Amino acid sequence: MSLVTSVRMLFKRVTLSDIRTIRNIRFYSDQPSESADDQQNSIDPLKDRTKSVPVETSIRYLQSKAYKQTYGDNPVWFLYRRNHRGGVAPKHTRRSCVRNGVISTGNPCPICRDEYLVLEPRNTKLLEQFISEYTGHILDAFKTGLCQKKHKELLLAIEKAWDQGYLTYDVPFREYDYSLYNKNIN
Amino acid sequence: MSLLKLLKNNTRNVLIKCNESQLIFISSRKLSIVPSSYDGENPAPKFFSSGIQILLKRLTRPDYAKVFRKRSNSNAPMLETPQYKFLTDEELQIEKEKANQSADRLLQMPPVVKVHEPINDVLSKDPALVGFDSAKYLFTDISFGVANEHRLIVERDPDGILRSCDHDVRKRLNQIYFPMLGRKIREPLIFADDEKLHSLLDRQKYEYVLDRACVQYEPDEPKFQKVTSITYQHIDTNMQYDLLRSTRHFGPLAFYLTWHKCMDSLMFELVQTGAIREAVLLMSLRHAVHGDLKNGADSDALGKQVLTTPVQLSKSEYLTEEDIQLDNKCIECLDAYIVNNSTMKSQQGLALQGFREYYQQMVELSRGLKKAHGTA
Repeated sequence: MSLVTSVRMLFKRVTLSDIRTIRNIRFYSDQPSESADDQQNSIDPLKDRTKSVPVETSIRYLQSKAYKQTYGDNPVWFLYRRNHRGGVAPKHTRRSCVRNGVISTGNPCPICRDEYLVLEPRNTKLLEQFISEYTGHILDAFKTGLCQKKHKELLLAIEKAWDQGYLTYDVPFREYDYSLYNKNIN
Repeated sequence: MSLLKLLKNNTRNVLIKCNESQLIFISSRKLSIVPSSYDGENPAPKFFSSGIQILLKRLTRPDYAKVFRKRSNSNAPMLETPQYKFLTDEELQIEKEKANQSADRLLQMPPVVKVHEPINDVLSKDPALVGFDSAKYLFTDISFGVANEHRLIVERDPDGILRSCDHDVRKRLNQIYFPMLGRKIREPLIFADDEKLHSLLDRQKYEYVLDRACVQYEPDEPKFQKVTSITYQHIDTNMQYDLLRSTRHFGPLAFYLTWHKCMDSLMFELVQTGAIREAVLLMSLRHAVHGDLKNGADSDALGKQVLTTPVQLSKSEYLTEEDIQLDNKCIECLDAYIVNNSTMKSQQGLALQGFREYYQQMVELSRGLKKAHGTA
């Protein structure tokens, strides 16, 4: 008797599971699945940093009215203020504002908050804002507020610009010893 | 770079034959500047001779406002505030002397020398060492007090030969052990890439390119002479001599143009701007370097006279009688040069004529002023 009931229960389970699998069965298809779409739609477009902007767009942006309205004549880091407790800020800025292609902090740094500011050797107008006009030094992340990742990118971009001739600097003076070249003295 | 962009930037002549085969002929305007180096006669004895050095220094026309401008290459952590002092006349004279000496240091000309010969001396051959290692061994003597030029740097090749290293290996190892500020071990792209160099020259950053070349290379390296020759020719074709005046590079520029006998553009610019005394100095420089001017002796004597007068940074409104006499002699000398040895006769002749008329007006004005003031 129990054997019959167990067999009957088994048969019911199999038929029910069959129906369920028939309903939920997915054959192989080329369309992207709906659950992945749900994930993408949940990214805030303002915080999305997966797409990188080309340099030419960034160069045009720095000449545009939108840039002028946002930043005026000041450098992009001028009005930025870090949030920290106490009067003195921590010596190092945060490691990075962007995690997995998304801005995952509040108050992102001046470069991360504006996706059209691209740190590249050709973007001289942006790079010059981070070089002191009086000493020629590259400004510290403590002063500009950049996250460490963007600060390293900035150092790299400026070094490449100096190497490729997009930016110039005051070259150190080289003194010559004429006695090495002028045999008359020797 | 796309083909269209290449065509736009570099084309002088574009010929497209619409036959069976399409033919596009692209000639780059950048090819008109041919780099050269001092690989024939050694220019050093002439360059370092005191007469030519004095002439070149005078031709740079040092303007202390430009020589002592603020530069940001000191790497000091903080800026220095300016100092104001009250000085007596003697102390002022001492400070002026100090200023002259520091200007001389800042205006020291990079040496113009012949290209160096490759180093090729084998110290020993040890075939017994073959197969010991697959790599070259480089031995550098890093004792203190030895100048980089005289440092002992040798290499042991995998085939057992011990030889002195060539100039490029020497320079690289010296830079690794005793780095010079501003010099890179890997060659900067502005010198490696012709396009980048020409884009800098087109933006007229001549002083920057020459300063970096002085730091990056030795004056007897072929690459240094190639870069500087391209720069000098670019300045010559665009007549931008004023950008290099009051810098250390004007002397070698003038010497290069005189050595290759193409100083006529410079002469034309000097006459056009009214600096005829410097034009006479340029003539005596040409005579000192080549000695092929017809009125060479005259220009020498006149040049010596000009050197005794002070440097003229701007045109003076008041002319004394000696000034007028000297300037008239200069004009005659230049006339003789234009007729005999110049390659830009018509342009220079016109410019000299223009200057003569202007000078006549100046002479009349100053004589009139003297009469009016009663000092004639």
